[in-house]
Amino acid sequence: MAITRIGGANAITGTIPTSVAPGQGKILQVVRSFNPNFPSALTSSSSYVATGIQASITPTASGNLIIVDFSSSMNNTAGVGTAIMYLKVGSGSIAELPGITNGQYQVGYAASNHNRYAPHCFGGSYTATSTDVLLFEPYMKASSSTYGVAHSNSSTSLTLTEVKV
Amino acid sequence: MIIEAILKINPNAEVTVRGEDINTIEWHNGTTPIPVADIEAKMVELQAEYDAEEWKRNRQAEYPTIDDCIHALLDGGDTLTELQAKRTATKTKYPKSGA
Repeated sequence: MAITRIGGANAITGTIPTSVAPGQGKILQVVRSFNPNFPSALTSSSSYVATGIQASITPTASGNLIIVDFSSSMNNTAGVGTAIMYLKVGSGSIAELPGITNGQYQVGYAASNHNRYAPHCFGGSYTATSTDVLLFEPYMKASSSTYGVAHSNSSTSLTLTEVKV
Repeated sequence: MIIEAILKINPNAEVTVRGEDINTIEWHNGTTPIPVADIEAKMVELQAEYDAEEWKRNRQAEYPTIDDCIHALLDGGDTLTELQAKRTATKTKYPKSGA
């Protein structure tokens, strides 16, 4: 459908797209896991371990976009540590969120002599390939001493938003 | 405190502690679990070490700043004398443990 703005000194014309499916871009559901007083989780593991901060969502349709937002108000490290986002699809095994390469700092990096107690945040997405339940959880590891993605009594939030595509 | 105690016993331990719960420690990558009683004993020891250095923390909190020290050293005279008096007063206020 062609449109024309009239009556102005700088009239504009254009075309309203007709290829947008009804409801496309609509937010279908939001799941939010918020903890105002995180109970602390510290690791010295050199391989990624669960943080215990989880949120699950069941997509209404395959192909929909799941926007994943995570924040921690304060990390807790006595050495050096990193965190990344993990995903479990249905009854499968949990693994690093696909589509991010070389993303070892995707959720956060902390070093005691640089940014101890600084916040962490993550904004990612995943395109659902089925309507199986999706479980998202940041994982963490330490490369020296100890590290926690969130300090005790810090706040954490993990928000999942399903968008119709 | 739990994970610090574990790493004092075994600096190479790979472990996760959640909610400061000593009964749900996760041991990773082949780390040999340490008995809870040993961890608790080390925690008591670490706490004692921390408490024994309270005098040092108190002194550091009340000592003149480095800037004050530099000025006193450069100015000399009464300024330096006054600064040394402040340091002495702080030391007297917080004697070393066992002193």
